[in-house]
Amino acid sequence: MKRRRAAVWLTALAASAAVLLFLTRLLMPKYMGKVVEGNLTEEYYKETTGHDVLIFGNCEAYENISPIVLWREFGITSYIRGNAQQLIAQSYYLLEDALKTETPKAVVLNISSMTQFEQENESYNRMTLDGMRWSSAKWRAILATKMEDEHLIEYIFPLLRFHSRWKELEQEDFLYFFKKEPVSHNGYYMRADIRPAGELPAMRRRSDYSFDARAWEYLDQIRLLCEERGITLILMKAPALYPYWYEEWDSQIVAYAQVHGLTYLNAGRESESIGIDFSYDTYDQGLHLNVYGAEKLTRYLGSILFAVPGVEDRREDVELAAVWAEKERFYDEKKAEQEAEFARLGYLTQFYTD
Amino acid sequence: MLLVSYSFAAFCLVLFAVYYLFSGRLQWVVLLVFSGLFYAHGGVRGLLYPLVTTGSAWFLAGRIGRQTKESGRYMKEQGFDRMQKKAYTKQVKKKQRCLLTAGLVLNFGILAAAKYTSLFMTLGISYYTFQAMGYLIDVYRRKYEPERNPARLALFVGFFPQLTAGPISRFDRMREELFREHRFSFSGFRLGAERVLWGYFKKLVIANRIGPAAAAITGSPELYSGFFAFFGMLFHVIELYADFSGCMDIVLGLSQMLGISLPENFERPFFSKSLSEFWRRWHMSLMQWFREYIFFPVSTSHFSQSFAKAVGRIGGRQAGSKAPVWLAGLVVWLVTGIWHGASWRFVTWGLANCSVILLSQELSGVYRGFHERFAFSNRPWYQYFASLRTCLVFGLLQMLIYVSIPELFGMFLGMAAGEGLSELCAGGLLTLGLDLADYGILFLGLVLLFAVELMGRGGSVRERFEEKPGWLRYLLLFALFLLVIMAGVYGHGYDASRFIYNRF
Repeated sequence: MKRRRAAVWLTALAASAAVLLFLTRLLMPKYMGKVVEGNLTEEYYKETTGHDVLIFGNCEAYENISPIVLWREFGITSYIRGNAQQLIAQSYYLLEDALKTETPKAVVLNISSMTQFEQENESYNRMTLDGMRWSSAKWRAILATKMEDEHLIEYIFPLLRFHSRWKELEQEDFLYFFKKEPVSHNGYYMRADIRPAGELPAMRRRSDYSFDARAWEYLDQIRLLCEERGITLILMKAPALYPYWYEEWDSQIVAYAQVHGLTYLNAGRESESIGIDFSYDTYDQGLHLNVYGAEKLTRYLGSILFAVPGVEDRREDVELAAVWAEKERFYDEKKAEQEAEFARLGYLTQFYTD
Repeated sequence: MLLVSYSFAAFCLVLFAVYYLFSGRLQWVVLLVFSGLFYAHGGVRGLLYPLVTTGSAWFLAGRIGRQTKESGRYMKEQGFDRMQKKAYTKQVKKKQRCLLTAGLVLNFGILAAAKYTSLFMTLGISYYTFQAMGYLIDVYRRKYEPERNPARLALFVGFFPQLTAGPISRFDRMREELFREHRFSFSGFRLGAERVLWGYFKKLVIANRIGPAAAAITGSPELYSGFFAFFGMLFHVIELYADFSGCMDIVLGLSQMLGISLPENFERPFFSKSLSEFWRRWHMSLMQWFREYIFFPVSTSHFSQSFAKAVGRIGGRQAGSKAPVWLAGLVVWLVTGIWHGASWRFVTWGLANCSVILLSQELSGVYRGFHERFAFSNRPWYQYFASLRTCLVFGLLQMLIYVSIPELFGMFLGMAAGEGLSELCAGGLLTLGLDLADYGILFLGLVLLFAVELMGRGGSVRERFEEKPGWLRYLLLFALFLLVIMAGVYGHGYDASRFIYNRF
């Protein structure tokens, strides 16, 4: 009798948990519309092969470098663990998370995230952190970067955060309930539309050019973690006309790289030699590169990465080649689709806003 | 610490674990420590005021108690006759009255400074001050012996669930509850948790949802008149009841989970037939406090008796006999108004309530005649009509907190002229911060709330619920839990989760 009673209770509890899981799954944003960045962190875990290069940073990382081109032209395997407004602290914990399963030869860190240590919008935190696999790294990433009105419990039980989304449910919430299509190309966010650089806000002088001390601490931690694991750390600043990257900021990074013997690439200064043309290579008037600009920047980066000890051309590896051939096919297909749509409409419907 | 916060949930989990680990005579110490932590969460400085209140109540009650004992012993030793005893007791009472007055002036002075100046504000100051002063007055009246242990008195004054919005308890009753051993009882714990869940349903699903719409109308009476004013009144009353009674359910349920029974504060007030009955069933512990410590002393005071004689001379014996009740009622409602807020609007609100209650008392003979003459007044539909009428009167009087009497008339006269009707028909209610889905949830929530309240008229709903099969109870509770989780207004972006009665 007791056993039967216990079984009934266990079944009831399991059914209740299943209902809660179902609702959580249904109500969590699917990020399959205009904003797809919420999928970037999660897609990394679907990788079946390792990477020689891991790239970290905010939008300047995941919109400006194409891992497919790195493979196609240099045979370098790479993945971008970047997200919208990804803070340097989050990059550190994502690196820690990645190093649990692989040890790349090089880590590229886009250092524009040094300019902002605290998050300005909760949704950016959710997009970066919700997709992260549960581990102590995720726990610490949440605690280190959550905003004042965010709560750890809402990351553990996302239903508490997204409970009111039942009013906003869309077709995509049901369509992608079980399975989602990949939205990135090894973490790269592709845009094949063109919106030439126009007028930009005037550059204003700042009262203080120093980076937050906590940002420096996390940069140190990234460097030390790389040193500990024998990984070459490369600091990089991607080309962008806006937001401005001040000379005063640049000189601090140059000094840091010199002191610690790191390579620092300010690709913004090399825009001309790289061949970036902001009247063609950007989709949002100079803030981010489109696929054409990203491919140019990737070629520049590839030649530098190739010089890193241990980074090799792996195109001869049959198993890897098969995996990457599928990635190339997907990349080319999406690029062609976007190009055709842009040629036809003058914009991309997925990202179009009135 | 807010009752609607994750930190409060974590606080309770830790408390339950520690509390039942210390099963035995130390449990009250655990409660005292956690009550201190609850209070100190808003800043350690906030502990100062309840400590002053507890300290002064303990010291003064102790002195009064000692004087009572010593005087009794002294009179026995001296072999006083009746007259000497009377004279000596009067002398002692005078000294004790001085001590009592000192305590009342000090503590109500602190309360007034907190409520009516911006010098400081501290959580639940009204509730713990009323409790502590009730204790002091009871000791003065020799209802019970003073508590020797200041820590035990501190727990009575600062028992954390009561700090948010009451109920206001009496020491002799709470002593039995707080300081006995509480062994873990699964059924008691479960029943408490169920009540907490019901409280969160009222607060998160109903009060928090309707709150913005009520605030939009009552906050801008110049923009909303006619039918909008009616909806504003309706929304405000619903919010107030769901918020306050929800808070009480959480407080009482939480105490039940700790094995402690607190007095009820609501008894389905919206089924009252008159305003005076309504106020006997709404915030019952506060009303009892006012009755016991203000109404009775005022109505039996020398001044009141002299006043009665003076009225009797002018208006006849009947008026004279009623005068103490009028006077005491007036004082109680004046204090109630002032207690609710430091503005003339609250005073008007209190006096308006007083006027309606006294007037209906005076017209009770007319009502009786009406009921005897017309048989339909005993029919069920008339009972509902009487309840509805009471709700309407309560709602109208509540509006006096936001608008003046002429403005109130203006707002509701507009209804007769059809003011706001066309805007309402054009979807005006959807401009108040609520969409159709919100109104749908509100409707369902109110139907559920009303059904449960209605069932409560025929006996305890909880007892009847307990008689249902276990699987059905589980299913219903899980559905309620889902409703709270999914339809509750809380979490990110929501910053109005304070309970209305927290402000007092």
